[in-house]
Amino acid sequence: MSKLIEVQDVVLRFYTYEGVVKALEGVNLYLKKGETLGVVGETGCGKTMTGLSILSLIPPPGRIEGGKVLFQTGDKTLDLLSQDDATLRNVRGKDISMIFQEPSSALDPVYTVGDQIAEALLLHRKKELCERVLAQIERERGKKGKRELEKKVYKKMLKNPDALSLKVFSKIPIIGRYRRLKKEVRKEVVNILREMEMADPERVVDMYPHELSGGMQQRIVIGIALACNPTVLIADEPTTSLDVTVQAQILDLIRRLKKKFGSSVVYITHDMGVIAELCDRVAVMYAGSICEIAEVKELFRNPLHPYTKALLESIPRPGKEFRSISGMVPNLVNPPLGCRFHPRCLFAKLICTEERPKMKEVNKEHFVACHLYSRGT
Amino acid sequence: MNLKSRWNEFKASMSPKKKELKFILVRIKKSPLSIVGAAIIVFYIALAILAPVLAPPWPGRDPFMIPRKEYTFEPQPPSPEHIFGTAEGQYDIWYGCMWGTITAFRVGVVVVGISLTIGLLIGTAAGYYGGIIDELMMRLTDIFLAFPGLVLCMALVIAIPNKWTILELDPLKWTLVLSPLDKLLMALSLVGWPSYCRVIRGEVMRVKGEDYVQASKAAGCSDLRIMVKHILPNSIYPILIMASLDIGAVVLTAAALSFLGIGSPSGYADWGQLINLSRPWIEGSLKYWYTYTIPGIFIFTFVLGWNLLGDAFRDILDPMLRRR
Repeated sequence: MSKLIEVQDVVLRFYTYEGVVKALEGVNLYLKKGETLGVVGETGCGKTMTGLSILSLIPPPGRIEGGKVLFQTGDKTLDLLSQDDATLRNVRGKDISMIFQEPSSALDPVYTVGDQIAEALLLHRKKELCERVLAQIERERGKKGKRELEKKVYKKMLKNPDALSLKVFSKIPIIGRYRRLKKEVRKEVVNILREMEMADPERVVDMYPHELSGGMQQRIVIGIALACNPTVLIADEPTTSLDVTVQAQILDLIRRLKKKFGSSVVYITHDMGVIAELCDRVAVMYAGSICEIAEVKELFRNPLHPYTKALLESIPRPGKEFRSISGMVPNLVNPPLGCRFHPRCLFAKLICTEERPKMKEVNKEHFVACHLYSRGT
Repeated sequence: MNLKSRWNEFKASMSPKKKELKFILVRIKKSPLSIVGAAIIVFYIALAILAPVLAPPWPGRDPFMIPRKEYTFEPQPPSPEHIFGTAEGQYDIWYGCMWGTITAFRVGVVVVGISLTIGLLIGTAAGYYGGIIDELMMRLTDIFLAFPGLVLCMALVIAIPNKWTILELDPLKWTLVLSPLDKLLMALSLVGWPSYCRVIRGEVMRVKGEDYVQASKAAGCSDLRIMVKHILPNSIYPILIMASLDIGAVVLTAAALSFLGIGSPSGYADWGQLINLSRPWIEGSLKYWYTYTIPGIFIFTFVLGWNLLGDAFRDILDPMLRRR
């Protein structure tokens, strides 16, 4: 299968007062078409930053200092890190969109839910909606002169959706010519809400985010992300702030929508259970780099990297001793030399303190970066 | 297709906004002081609208110049002809107070409007882009804020030239002649904008870090769209509160400057100007009380009204204080 997104050696630095935070150190990833890739790790490992750098949305004072993010659209390959703003804006939301962790703060409190979904729709799918309206006018019978006028307006909108005159006129209420687009947008928004399994979408459209519960808010956020049928969806811990029952519903929803729209998903989480539930492949991250990538079953059955083993052991299970990983994630201003996990690793050797391990394919599709497996080859 | 169905649709689309407005009205009803404030301001608006009826100007003269029949020096007490009496030089105080209301609104609204606009533009840009733009803009506001406001105002009123040549092509010459009051307005706006700029910058910086701004970036919004559609609506409330409190304060400052003799010319319908005229008569007995007390009451209640209204706005609009 083809690689839809390929992250190559991305290096991310934050220039802060305390020093240079080496947030990402040569991250390599790829996402195949139609699959779900899970990214796991402790907090502060750079999971979110990996997601954001795919969209090149790194907040200042962060700077990407190397590497590429290759993205396949049609038959072209774009390096998202070297595109100009206009191209990126076109990719964001339309081809790649993101679900944020905290639904209550990812929604703008001053707009109704409908307005926020409509914004995403109008940013990327205005043309399609205009065409629909035009087709609708064609079908309709009525005064001919009036219809011609309306057709003219929408044709103009098709040609140049951002024309100033259209923007000004559409702001004046009760002008008939623009109602059709508004109606069409509203219809589409209600459709999206229905798709998100919202109860009573007609009413929810006019509600403000604070009137909704956390689970409903997260559905809206997912709705905004999926409004333009993106090919890639980056989900940054979408269920972390929800309770377990709602979590299960949201996971179901994501799985169903993924199947329906054929999107590929990058699922960022620290919950191994969710990974087992949802993902096809898993990338384990530690302190700014990836230490193991494998298919889900392979990883759970045969974890290779000591960190992955420790992570799997730290899942609380009844009847089994609960073991935590001793120590803390290192301060990324002065990360340990060599393998970044070596101070906490039970199997650390001399070479681990000196040399960074390289990514190595141990089994088929099972990569690991650890000195334990580099011997002999 | 007809107008009625369109109107119904418009009403339906406005329903969430209507709900909010109703909530605000309920909040206003709950606090008596805000009703008092609103009543005072409504009263003054009525005065300003009715000024040509209550105090008819002499035909053919600038209505803002207070008419006078004689030139006697000593103020005259209230009489049927001059309800509030006359000030020094026989200026009618009633007339001055009525038309002074219009002047007060003009000063307050224009000055706050201009400083709000400048402050919003500069503050939003500085807060959003940060870096060198922010640094430059904030040092500029520092320069303005380093001077005492009243002193800077006085200096500016005197320094601003009367005549402005806008365009000079040989046959064409557009010039703008500023009246003393216009200069006062300009000076007050120039002194006023840095504080707005500061507040809006801080708010923008706070909102900029919110998740929904990041989310709208991820949805593909442009910088301008994010600023206008997402950041401003979320950061503008403190500024609106500040503006409504400021209208009173600006009128007070303008009155102070008029009292000092800078600002509106002698005989102009302006409360501060009327008090300036009564300056020699404050000393000694209370015989000439009407010359300074009546315009003083006007200034006092006007500023009080705006302050009460501003407090009410804060209670209603501040998202931290509402929803209880």
